[in-house]
Amino acid sequence: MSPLRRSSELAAGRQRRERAVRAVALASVLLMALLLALPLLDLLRRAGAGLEWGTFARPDSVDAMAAGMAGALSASAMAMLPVLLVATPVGLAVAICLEELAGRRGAARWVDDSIRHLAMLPPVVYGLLAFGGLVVVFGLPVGTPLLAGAVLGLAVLPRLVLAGQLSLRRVPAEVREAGFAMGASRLQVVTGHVLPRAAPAMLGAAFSMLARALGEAAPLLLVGFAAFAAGVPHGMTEPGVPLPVLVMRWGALPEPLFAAKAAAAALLLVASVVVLGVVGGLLERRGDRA
Amino acid sequence: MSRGALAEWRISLAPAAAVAAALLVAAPAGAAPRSHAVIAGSSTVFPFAAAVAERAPGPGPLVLPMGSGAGIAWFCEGLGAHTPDIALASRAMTPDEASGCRVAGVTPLEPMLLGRDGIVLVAPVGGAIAALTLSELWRALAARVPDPAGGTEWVANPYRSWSDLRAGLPAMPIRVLGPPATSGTRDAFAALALRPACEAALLDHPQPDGERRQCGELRRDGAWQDAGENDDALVGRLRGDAAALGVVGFGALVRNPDRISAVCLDGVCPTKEKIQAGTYPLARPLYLYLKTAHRALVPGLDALVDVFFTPEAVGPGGYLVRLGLVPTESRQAGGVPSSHAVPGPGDLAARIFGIALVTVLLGLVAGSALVRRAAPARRGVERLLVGALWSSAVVTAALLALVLASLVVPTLNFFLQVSPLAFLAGTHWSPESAIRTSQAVGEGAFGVLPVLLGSVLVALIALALALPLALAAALHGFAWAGRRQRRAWRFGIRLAALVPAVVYGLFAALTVGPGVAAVAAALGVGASAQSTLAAGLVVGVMLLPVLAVRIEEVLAAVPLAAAEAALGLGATRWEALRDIVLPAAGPGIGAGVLLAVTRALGETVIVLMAAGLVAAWTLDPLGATTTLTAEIVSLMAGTHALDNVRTQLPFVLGLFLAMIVLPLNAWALRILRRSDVTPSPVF
Repeated sequence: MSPLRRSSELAAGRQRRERAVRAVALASVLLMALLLALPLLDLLRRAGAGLEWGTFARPDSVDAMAAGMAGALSASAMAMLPVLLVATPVGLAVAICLEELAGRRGAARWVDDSIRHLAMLPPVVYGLLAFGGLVVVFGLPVGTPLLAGAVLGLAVLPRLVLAGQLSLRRVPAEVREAGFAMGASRLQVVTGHVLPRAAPAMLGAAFSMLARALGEAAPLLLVGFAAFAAGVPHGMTEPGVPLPVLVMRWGALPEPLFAAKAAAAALLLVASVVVLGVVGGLLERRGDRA
Repeated sequence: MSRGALAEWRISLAPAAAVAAALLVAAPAGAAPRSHAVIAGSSTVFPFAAAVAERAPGPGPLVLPMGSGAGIAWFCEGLGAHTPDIALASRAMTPDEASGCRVAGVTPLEPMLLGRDGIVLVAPVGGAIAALTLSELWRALAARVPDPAGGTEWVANPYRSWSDLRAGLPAMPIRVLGPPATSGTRDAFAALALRPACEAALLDHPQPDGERRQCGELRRDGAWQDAGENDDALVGRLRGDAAALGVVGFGALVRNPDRISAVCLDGVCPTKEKIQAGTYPLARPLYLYLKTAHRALVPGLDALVDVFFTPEAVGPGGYLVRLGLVPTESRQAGGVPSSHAVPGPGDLAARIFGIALVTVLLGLVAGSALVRRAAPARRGVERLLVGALWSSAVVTAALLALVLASLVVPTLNFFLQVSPLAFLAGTHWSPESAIRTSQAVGEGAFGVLPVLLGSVLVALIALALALPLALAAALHGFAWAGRRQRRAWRFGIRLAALVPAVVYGLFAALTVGPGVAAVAAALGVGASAQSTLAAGLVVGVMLLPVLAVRIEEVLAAVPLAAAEAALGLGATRWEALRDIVLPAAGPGIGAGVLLAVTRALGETVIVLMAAGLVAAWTLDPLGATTTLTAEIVSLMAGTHALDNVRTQLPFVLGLFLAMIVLPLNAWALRILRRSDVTPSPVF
């Protein structure tokens, strides 16, 4: 066998291996897509009987026929208000403070570290923290959108700070240096130069965090939301069980119609989370381009 | 610290003080009654109370099913908007509880008899057991029984199969799902079904007082399984488990006639008439307890209470009767109403949020307007703004640190009563400890290892599914996908990683769990509809996009020069990946896997919906299991007083979980920092 022949055979073998590995990798992508689509398709199949107008327009009931998610939709929407209006601006403000204004020593370092650690806690632990802090000490009323929003806001706050810091860090140092060189003050550099460039990414991260808060159930189970709330809440302090917790309640009941309605509610949840996620993703991508 | 920094600090204190003052001023002004009723307690009464709540006028009441014991404990904490107005109980209040209520000032009370209920032992329709005697039931479930081999000794329960009890019974393993120790149904079951049989046995096999005190105690070797407070959810679990029996209220039997059938006890089958007449041995009354003082506090409370007793509800064919309530002749007389106005914290909290919001908005507006001004005026303003930002950061961190302390305090209290060694090294998890002194349950066993094992098993199964797939798929996105494909891939996994856990949890409970059980049955292996495998697989699916994001982040940070050089010299892409990219990315990918593991350890909802909540010291993936997170949720009693082992336990587990997750995460982040990757905090 000539050496030439052997090397060409070797090359062919290498190409074959390349093709095989590539095929396996592609198959993994497809299998992963299938595995991720499977829950949605299964729920879509089950949701059939639950998909009627009343399911979305009526409040919850012990009767499977009458049960609806209007109360949960209202509660979920209202619970997002504290997250959006308090936790998000505070989180991003803290991020600006830590990233742009503070040094890397002393109190700043301590605040930065504790926020970094708090962001690692599983959401369910925030339920315990919220029970001890918000319910027992501050006396927020259990089972209301106000408490749900406060718990979820608390749970996303450290992550929001980290996300904000990450967006700010992506702004090149030259931008700041140019600002300082022109005589701008620290705050002018931040508001006039850094923030405009970081804003899309920050907003994008905020939308993604909102999507996670919207779908989060674990911490709520610890502060009185594993409950039945009659009617539709019209205020922050009226009883309301957010949508993810309602899905859990309905999903545990033996009546098949409840399971169908739980599936419908879960799909609606996916749809809203995907909308928020797409907006967030597009914003972040715009931030990358800027 | 320099003088300038000191000045900055002094200025930074001013806004913080202003906010604090505003809060203090707002606090007393926030006193206002609650607008809706809060009802808490027995899960047997829960469906009836929920049906009434639906029909009550005014803002919808909140009904919390937490068990009679926990409900009464919360109810008796005092008066005011932070406590329930009505307690639901499937047994009468004990003297201990009543005196606790009196001490807390919760008087007068109005006890009302809502109706009667029978505790029923149920099997899935077509079950093999149609009738038992109470003595057989006791011998099946008691912790200790007279030695079946003869003699006068009492031994730990040796019966494994129903056929061990009596020849005619099927050779099925004894497995009964029932309510946990916080439940009134459990108390009544112990008092009505177990205690009489136990005392009868004591006559034949006299024993010292020790056995008498333990009468009514349930065995803890897995034959009895605590299955949560909710009767209907328990029926849902029986759906996938033909060999199990359940202990539920009569209402659950009426609501699910095509799913479960009753086991007759001592020759009497539970029917409405037999329960009403009291001839069914496990018949018991259902009560509502109302705080008279709250009639003045909560506007719609009077009307709500009346709805419970209207003819449409409890009359013949009434909606409560259709749900399975057995009505009685009349409710008991109420107490004397008196009125106290009690502060409600709801508006206070709303005000706090309002103030915080206004502060933030004003700050933003003022900041953007003033920063544009000329330099001399600007500097003072800037210092103020910087101070405000600073104080918000410090307040945030301090607040979060303070709430973290709320985990530590109950944990310390817990370990004053339970030995840390018994907790960390024990292999028996049965947190049965009574929340009242008079309750018929034994000392709790607090060995956390089975729970930890469940968490680890679920995470390992999840990782075994997710890691190979996510890694291969991420490599495809990195090495072989075109530019647009790669962008779509990155966008897609980030979107998929946002899908809420509850969606996967529902899929697990409805499809994967029963599917795993069906496949196992087809292979001739026993499996319940809730299994470690089902939970692990579905957590794995949830982990797929998360892990893909982590790996993608690491790959994106690998310097490409060497790989491109290799490609230029004729290496195939796979060779460049294998020899250059993967060795460089290896530590980062390992760190990403660590982050995914901690995510799996912290996963709560999927496990709650699919794992079955049974602490088992076994590696069998087809059996039910429980995890740290699921136990935190299922043990959370909801009472505010964290004064006993049982109510402190969720906090202990929370701290334990945090102490596992935090170091792992910190380690992963340190590795990632070395390769200059900051993982997105969103996932």
